[in-house]
Amino acid sequence: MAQDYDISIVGQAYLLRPDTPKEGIVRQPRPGESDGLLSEPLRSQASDANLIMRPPRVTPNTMYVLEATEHAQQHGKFLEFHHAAYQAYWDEGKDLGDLAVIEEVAQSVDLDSADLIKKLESNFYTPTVMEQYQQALQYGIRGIPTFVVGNLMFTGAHPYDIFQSAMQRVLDTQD
Amino acid sequence: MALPNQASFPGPPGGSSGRRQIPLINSQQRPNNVFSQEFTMVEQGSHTHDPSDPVRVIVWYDYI
Repeated sequence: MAQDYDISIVGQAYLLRPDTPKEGIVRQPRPGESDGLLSEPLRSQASDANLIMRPPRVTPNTMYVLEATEHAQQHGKFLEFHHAAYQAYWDEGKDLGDLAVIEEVAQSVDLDSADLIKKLESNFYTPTVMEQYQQALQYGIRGIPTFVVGNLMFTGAHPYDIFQSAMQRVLDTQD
Repeated sequence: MALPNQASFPGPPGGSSGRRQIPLINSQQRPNNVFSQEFTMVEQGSHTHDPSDPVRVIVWYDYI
């Protein structure tokens, strides 16, 4: 969408599983998953979006990687880091709860990984991430991804024409 | 504190301190039912939105 429209993207962290222990939990296969493939409709949705998604072995505690994404955002690299972290987890099966993995992702998008790790270990971004999460709860958001385009809010991985429709409606209100 | 259906977001740098409420789009204009919640944002900042400004897209995300 950023290639087709003049937009500014603001990433807001959401803790989908805030109860996940620090070391993560072994992910149980979902009904319908087989041969390293996700169940439907996720499988088709990922395919339609040209995303590679394989069932991961571990569900990580995502606090560190959400904080790292906020760090990337504050350094103008939200999308780059987000895509790289997403690929590390869903394509390469890496554990996003592992600081070494986050360090590797940061380096792949040319962030100062030593500075990032220092900030993660000192919980520098924890208040920001928790504020974003609490704000989402106040707005009644209960799932991700949730998008706000102009004044339209919708949740879920929808086909691209939905985003186009939302953008058009927002642009129409500006005329 | 913003109400659940009234999000407050910082306005553009240098904008005024005024607040504005973006009107809801007429529900009859909905092309489908995907937009189950229309989001009334109360913004802090300029009273007039410059169409040449980029449209802000907010995404709440996690990785799992």
